[in-house]
Amino acid sequence: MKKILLVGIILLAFVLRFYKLNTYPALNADEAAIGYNAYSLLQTGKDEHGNPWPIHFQSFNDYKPGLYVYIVMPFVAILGLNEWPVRMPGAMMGVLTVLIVYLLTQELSLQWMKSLSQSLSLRENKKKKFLELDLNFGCFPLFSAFFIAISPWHIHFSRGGWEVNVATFFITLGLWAFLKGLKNPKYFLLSFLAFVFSLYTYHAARIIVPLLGVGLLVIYWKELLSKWKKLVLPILLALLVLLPLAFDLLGPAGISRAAGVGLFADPGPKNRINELRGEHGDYESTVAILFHNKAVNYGIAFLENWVSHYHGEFLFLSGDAIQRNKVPETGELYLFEILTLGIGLFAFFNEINKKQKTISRGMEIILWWLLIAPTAAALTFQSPHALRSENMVIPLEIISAFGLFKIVEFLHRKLRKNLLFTAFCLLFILISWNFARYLHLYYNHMSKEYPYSSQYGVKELVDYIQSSPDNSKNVVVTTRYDQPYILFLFYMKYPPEQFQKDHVLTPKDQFGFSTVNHFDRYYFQPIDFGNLKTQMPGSLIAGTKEEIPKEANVIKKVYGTNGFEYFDIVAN
Amino acid sequence: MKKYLLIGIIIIATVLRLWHLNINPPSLTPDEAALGYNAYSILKTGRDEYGTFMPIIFKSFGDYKPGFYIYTTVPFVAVFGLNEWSVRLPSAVAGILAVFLLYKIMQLLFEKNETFSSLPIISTFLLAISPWHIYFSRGAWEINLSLTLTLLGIFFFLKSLKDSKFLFFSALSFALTLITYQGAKLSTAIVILLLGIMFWKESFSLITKHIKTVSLSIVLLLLISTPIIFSFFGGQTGRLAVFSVFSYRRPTQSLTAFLNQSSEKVGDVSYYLFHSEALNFGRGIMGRWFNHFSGKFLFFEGDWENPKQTTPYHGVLTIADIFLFISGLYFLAKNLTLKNKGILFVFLWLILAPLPAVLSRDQVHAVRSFNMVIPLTILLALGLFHFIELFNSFKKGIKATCYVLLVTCYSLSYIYFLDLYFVHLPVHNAQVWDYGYKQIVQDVAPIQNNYAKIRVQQSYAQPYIFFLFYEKYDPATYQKKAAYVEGEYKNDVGKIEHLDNLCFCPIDWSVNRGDTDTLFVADELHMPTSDSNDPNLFNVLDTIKYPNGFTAFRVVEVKK
Repeated sequence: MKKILLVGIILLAFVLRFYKLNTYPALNADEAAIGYNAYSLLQTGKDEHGNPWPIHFQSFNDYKPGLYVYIVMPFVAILGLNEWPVRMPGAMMGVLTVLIVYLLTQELSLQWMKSLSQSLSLRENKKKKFLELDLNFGCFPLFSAFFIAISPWHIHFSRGGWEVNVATFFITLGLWAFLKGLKNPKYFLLSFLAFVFSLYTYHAARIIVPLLGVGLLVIYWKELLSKWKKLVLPILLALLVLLPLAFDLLGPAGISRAAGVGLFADPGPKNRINELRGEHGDYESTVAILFHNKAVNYGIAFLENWVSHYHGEFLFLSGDAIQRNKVPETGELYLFEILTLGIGLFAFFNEINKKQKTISRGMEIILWWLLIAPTAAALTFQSPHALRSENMVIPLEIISAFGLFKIVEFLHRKLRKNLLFTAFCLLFILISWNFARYLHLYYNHMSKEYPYSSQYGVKELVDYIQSSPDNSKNVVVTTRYDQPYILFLFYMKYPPEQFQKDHVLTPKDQFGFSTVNHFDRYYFQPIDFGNLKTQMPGSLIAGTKEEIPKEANVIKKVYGTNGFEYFDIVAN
Repeated sequence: MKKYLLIGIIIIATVLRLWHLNINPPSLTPDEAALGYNAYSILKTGRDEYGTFMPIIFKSFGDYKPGFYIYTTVPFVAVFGLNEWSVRLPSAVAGILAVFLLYKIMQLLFEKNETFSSLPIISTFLLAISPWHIYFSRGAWEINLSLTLTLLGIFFFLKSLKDSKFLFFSALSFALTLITYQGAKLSTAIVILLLGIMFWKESFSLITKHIKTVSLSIVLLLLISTPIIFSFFGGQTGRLAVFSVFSYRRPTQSLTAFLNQSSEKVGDVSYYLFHSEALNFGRGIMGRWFNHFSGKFLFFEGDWENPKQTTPYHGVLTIADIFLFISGLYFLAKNLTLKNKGILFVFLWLILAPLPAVLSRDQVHAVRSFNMVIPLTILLALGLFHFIELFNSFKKGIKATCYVLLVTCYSLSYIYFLDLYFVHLPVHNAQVWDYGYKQIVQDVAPIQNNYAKIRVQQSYAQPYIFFLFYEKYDPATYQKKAAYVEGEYKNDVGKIEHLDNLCFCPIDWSVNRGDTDTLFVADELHMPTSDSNDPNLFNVLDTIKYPNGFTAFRVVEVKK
């Protein structure tokens, strides 16, 4: 029975992550970069800018951590360069995460069950209770897997080439293997390697994983000490695998990311320091400098960012502020989880109180994870940030599932059959309604409410230009929508060796990003129609509706899949 | 020992609430001035500024203030005269009293529980130094008096469980909250309801055994709250409609645009399922509730929508309270059972206390949610209690380190608060506290009779009340000539436009700049400096500056 349910949940997770995966939402520039760099490596052994087998991909000078590109590579080799191979590995690992969460929570509840059954055997009707308990504890891993499977947060970042979701998979795998390893040390190698791989996949993991490691060390230090002989080899191996990354981070890859999005890039705290010092009367006085300085104000900014990830508005109502990371009117969790998460959290705290150490520790590590999950995001200046703190979804949903389990157990204990059935029906309706609402908003509203959240319309534009009879004309494309050059390369399957030869990367902008303004006969720039008209005679100009004057010779209007008009093409 | 601790805590509470009370906050608000002047008026004539005899609800600016705060101010005005101290002292004294009352209440709530024996003193200490509680103890905030009365009501209720005669006092205290603060209707109802539910067994036996006391108490409660309840229907609380969250539906245009995205219409099945107005209100209400438990409100920004209600760049708690909060939540969860009534009461009150704010239009509101401060402080106390318990279980060396760390962290973050409140607030927020009117009166009063007309820029700060207040204008004389003008909009506050030769009216400098024999008081926006500093035409008598150096008002005479 349990197995059938688990298979059902995994199937559900699969459908939710793969349905219309190649078309909805439209491919964004980062995904195109992943795909094209994988393609470039396959063809030439170098990335788009000619760096051989990099660990970080230079891309828009944002130095993307590279493991996901390498995972995508074989898929591109088999399926060719299109949306599927870029997104499939991410979605697949999303589905696998559901399974790993099942295994992880099963591992936890096995510990809990053992000690609970010991304590219960003292009671009178132990057999009956234990049976019920078994039934219910069986529910908990299933609930956890189910909650991850339908989680808006997890689905959102499973659908697309999001490195963060793969990192979350590796972290979860690492934690599960670690807990397994406490019983069977063979798993330690898997655990450590999984953690190291997560470091190769996404920036945030480089802060989360060490902190999670500290937690594991503190909580399980006795076991680890007793098994230290069996730990030496896995640790050495993991360190060996880690070496290349460490060396690479000494280069430009290490600096660029921190400089672009790091907390210190935010001028807010600096302005506040000046303002507050001024209010002391003497700007240079010791008191003013002691109370209002970078350490204090950036420290407060970090704390504020960190705490903001636990705001109910973010978790249950509206989610991230960045459109690409969100579904309209939807939180990162479901509304009904206010209830399950609240109860789950209290139940977690409550269980820790009990004397059985083994129970406590499993819960402690989940709580610790919940506490540290947003730290990496808090070190950057847009908070709360659903993407950078995505790993938080795992502890949250586990606790939420525990809450549901507690509710079910309570109802089971207190209610008679008829009432119980009604209560379960109500719970089921509540969850289904929330789920249906999410799907409705995701599929029917998201792309129209946030038409600029992804690069809609570019594929259609490239199709049109390629199919147009005259293919020697220059093409000028507006840069109003993110990085169009990479999407052109991607959709045209432009030969990488040719691109590597004749392109120039622009200097970094204020956020540390660069772009390519020109390759072959394609030019990417803001459209100043008056000037272009004389400068580029005989070219095709693709601009936004606002950039193209009404009287121009518009030969084609390009619409995205969401029905929005993105480009007007002018034959000059 | 405990006695001395308690005395020490009360001294701390007193110092924090009285130090520089007359100059920080930096200026009397119009409401404070109105409370003070009405108290003065009652003291001298027994009537309010409009000549109504001993009203329970004061008309004031047309906002109809419940009058209990004014009556408590009367003795202070009698003793100290009409000044900042006498207006603000009732709230400060109420704040100090609240600290003491919390101690008594905690003793009653946790008396059966030996393990919690140090909890009352810890909670009391944390309330004494609570930034939120200090903030509203400093200044004539009716809500603070109302909260102290609520605590008094709770205290007497808990007492009455043993001795029924206290129920009478309890009812009296709760009833007085209603005539102290408009929003107390809901917040007091919440407390009474909670007490009734928590102690339903005891309440039930009270009713059966002492039916006389109970019915007398209820009659008293109704009697005192009658005027408030009548005003509720009489339209004087029409401002409720302005403030209620339910008065603000989604604009039809944006709703239609949103629905069009998937070809839906109002009335469709999918509209009722996914986009209904009820759901929208629900989301709005939940959002407001979450805001009052957000880190931004509690620890970092405070009431970010109303700067007058918050210390600049500081939450309603201190930053180090984050850790007490987490620890307290953990400890609360561990001890939350139906039997442990003290804990259960704190938990339920904490959840329900923000309701008056949640049901109003503002995203967050530190005044309407003020009752939260009590359960919140107790939650922090539980957290501190838990830390102490935990530290005491450690070995000696670690124990000492932990204590040093805790005390250092907490003190540093508290000093940071003190700096922001006592140094920065008077400079940073002078403008939002309507700074400058006292200085205007000081400038104008001695020369008032030299001019045919004095035009003072009209504003929401109700400048007339500052003239009444600081000139100690004779109430009997004023009552005869009070000329109240209704506000432009329904349920809006009104204004006073004339007082002797003073005119509180809009100034259009391009028109008025030629008015001879007239004194003008206005800010730079309404009377541009560049156009009013020619010594041949104008005589700039004074430039009133905010503490941060920017110009607040200028007093200018037009030469003949």
